[in-house]
Amino acid sequence: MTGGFHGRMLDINLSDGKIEEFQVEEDDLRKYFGGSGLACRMLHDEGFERIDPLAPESKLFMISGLLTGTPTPTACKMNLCARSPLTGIWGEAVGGGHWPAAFHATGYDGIVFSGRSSGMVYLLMDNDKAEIRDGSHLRGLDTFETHDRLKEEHGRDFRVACIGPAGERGVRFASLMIDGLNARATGRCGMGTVMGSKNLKAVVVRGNRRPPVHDRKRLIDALKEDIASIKENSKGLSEFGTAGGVLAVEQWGDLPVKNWLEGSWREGAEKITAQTTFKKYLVKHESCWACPIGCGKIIKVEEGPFAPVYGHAPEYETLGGFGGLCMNDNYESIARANEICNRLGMDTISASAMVGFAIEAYENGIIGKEDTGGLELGWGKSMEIVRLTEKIGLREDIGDLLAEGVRAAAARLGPLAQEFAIHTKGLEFPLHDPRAFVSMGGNYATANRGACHLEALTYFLARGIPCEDLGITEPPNPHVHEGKSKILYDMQNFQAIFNPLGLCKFLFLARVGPRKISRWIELVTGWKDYSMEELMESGERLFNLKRMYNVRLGISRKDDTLPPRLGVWSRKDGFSQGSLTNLGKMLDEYYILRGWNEYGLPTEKKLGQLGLSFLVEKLPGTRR
Amino acid sequence: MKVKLSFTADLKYLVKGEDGAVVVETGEPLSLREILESLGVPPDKVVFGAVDKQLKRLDYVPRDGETVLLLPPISGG
Repeated sequence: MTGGFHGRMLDINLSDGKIEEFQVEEDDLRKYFGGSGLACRMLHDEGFERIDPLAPESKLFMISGLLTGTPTPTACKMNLCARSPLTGIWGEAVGGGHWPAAFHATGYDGIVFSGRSSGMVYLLMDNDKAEIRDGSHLRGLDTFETHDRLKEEHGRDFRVACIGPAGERGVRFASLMIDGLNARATGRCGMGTVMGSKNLKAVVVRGNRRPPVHDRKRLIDALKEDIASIKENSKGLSEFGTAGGVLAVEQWGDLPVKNWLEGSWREGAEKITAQTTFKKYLVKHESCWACPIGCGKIIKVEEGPFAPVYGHAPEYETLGGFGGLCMNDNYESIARANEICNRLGMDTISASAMVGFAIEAYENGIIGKEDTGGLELGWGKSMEIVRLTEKIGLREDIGDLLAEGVRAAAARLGPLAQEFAIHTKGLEFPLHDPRAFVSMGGNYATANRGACHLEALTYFLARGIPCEDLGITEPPNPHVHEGKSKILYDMQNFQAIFNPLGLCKFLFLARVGPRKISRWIELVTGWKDYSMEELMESGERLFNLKRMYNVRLGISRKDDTLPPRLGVWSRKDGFSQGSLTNLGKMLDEYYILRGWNEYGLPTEKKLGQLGLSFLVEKLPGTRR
Repeated sequence: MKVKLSFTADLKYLVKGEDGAVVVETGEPLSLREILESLGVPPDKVVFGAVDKQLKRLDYVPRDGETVLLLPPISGG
C-alpha cells in the first residue's frame, strides 16, 4: 500500500451492528486521494438518486485525507460526506483539530456508515478495535457535555467528535463538532443531521498507528524550510485568526450587511473585529495537528448579559453572519450565538443566515410575535438574535421552520420571502459578497456544494495573495470580468485537492502552491515522479467527479445561478457599489474551459480525458 | 505637489495620522510604491490604491491634490 494510507476501512451497518473491514484500492488513491474524493468515487457505485438523505439506506462516509496524521503541514482534516439533507445534492464537510489525526492513527483510513440504530449509540475505536456502544445516556447532551462525559468514561487520551441536540432533532444544517470547547466544526451541508438520523451520537478514538510515510527523513528535511516560510506568510492569521479580517472585508465591500441589502458598515466592523475585541477577551491561541499557522483562538466573556462564554472565538464567517448580516455590533452576543451553535452542533453560516432571513421576514410582516414565541425581531437586536439562534437549534416555535434551511422556509412563507432567501442550490451563502469579486459570482453558481466560498477562494487573489504556480502573480481587478473564468477554473481545480488530501486551505494564504504540495505527496506516498501537473489534473477530475454526482441528481445550467439579490441588485454604497457578475457570459466561457456542453454537463470526451468514462452512461439524454 | 493617502481597515495601524490619513508632499511625481517606501510602509502591505473607487496598481502616479484609498490584503475565513 502507498504511504499516507493504511489501506483499510470499515463498513458499519448501524441497523444490525455488523462491522466489516474492506481494502482500499491503491489505484483509486492516486486518482481520487482520500477524504471526499474517495467518498464520491465510492458513492458513484451506489443508487443514491433514489435514497432520501435521512433514510437508513443513505450512506455516510467519514474518511481521512490522504496525508492526514502525517507530519505534512496542516494535514489535520477529516471529510464527512453524504447526500446533503439540506440541499439534496453533494454534501461534504471538513473538520480539523486533533481528532482526525487520532482517528487515522487507529489504523483505519475511514468508515462507511449505513443503517439506523434503534437507540442512541456511539462508536468507540481503540486502535483497530471498533465497538458500537450504548449511548442512551448521551441523548440531549450538548457537544461540550458529550465531549467531557466520554473523556471521563474512557480516559483523557481519547478524542471525541460528536453531534449535539441540533443533529438529534434533524436541524438540516447540523454539524459534527470536534475537540469539545476548541470546537472545530465539520459544519456545512448537514452532515451532522445525517449522523443524527442514524442515531449515531459520537465517534471516540485513540490510536498509536500513525499512517506510513514513504520517505520520512527527506520529508522532514524539506519541511524545515517550508514551515519557516508558512509561518512568515501567515502572521496575521496566527495573531488574530480569521476574525482579524472583518475590517478589510468591510473595506473591500465584501461584508454582507442587513441580509445583503446594504453596502457599508464601518463602525460596526470596527467594534467586532479581533483587533478590537481580543484585547479584552482572548485567553489563548490554539493550533490543529501539524499546523504551523495556529489560527485557533480561545476567548472568555465573564460579564454582561451574554456571559458566560468560554470556548473558541467566533470565526470571520460567524462575525459576518451574526454581525454584519444582522447589523449586530455587540461582540459578546455574537460570541454567545457562536457558543450556542457549537454546543447545539449547527453550522454558524447557515444558522446566522436563517436569523437574518427571519429578521427581514419579521420586518415585512410575514412572520410575527405569535410565530417567534414572543420575540420582537429587528436588525441589531442582540438578545433576540441570540434567543432565535437557540430556538433554531432546538426547533422551537419559528425555529422549527427555520431549521429546514432558507430554501424550504421561504417556499413555506411565500413569494416575498423568496426575494430575500439567499442561497444557491439550497445552501445558504457564506459571508463573502460575489458583487465584490465577480469571479466569486461564477464560483457560487457552479460550486459543487452550492453556495460555497471554499471551492475557489478567488477573493484572496485580488487581496494580494498570489499563486505563482498558476501564473497569477499580480492581484486581478476584482470588478473586471476579463480573464476571470480562467482564474475560476484554475482555482476550483486547485482548491479541489485540499479536502481529499486532508490539508487546510489556509496553506494557500501562506503562499503554498500546487508545486510544493505535489512534492510533499511524492515524499509521503512514494509515487514516483509525482508532478504538479498530475496534481492539478486530479483537481480537475475531483471537481468533475462531484459535478457528475450532482448531474445524476438533475443538476445542470438551470441550477448554476445566483439569488436575485446578489445577481441583479447592486450594493447601495461602499467599495463594490455598482459591481455585478455577468453570469451568463461567465458561464459560457467557463463551460468551454471545463469541456462541458452548453447545459453545463461534462462531455463524454472530457470524462474520458479524466479517466471517468464509467460515468458516461450516467449523463442525461439518450442520443448523445 | 500634495497627495492624501488614506490607510483603510487594519492598514491604519501602520501610520500615525488621524484615522489613518496622511498628507504627503513630494517635489516630483512619484508612484504609490515610491511614496509608501518614503513613509517606511512595506509596499507588500498594500494591494491596490483606489481613486474615486477606480482601482490603481502601485505603479500609479497620483496627481496633485488627489486622495488615494489604500486597500489591504487578507483576510477572512
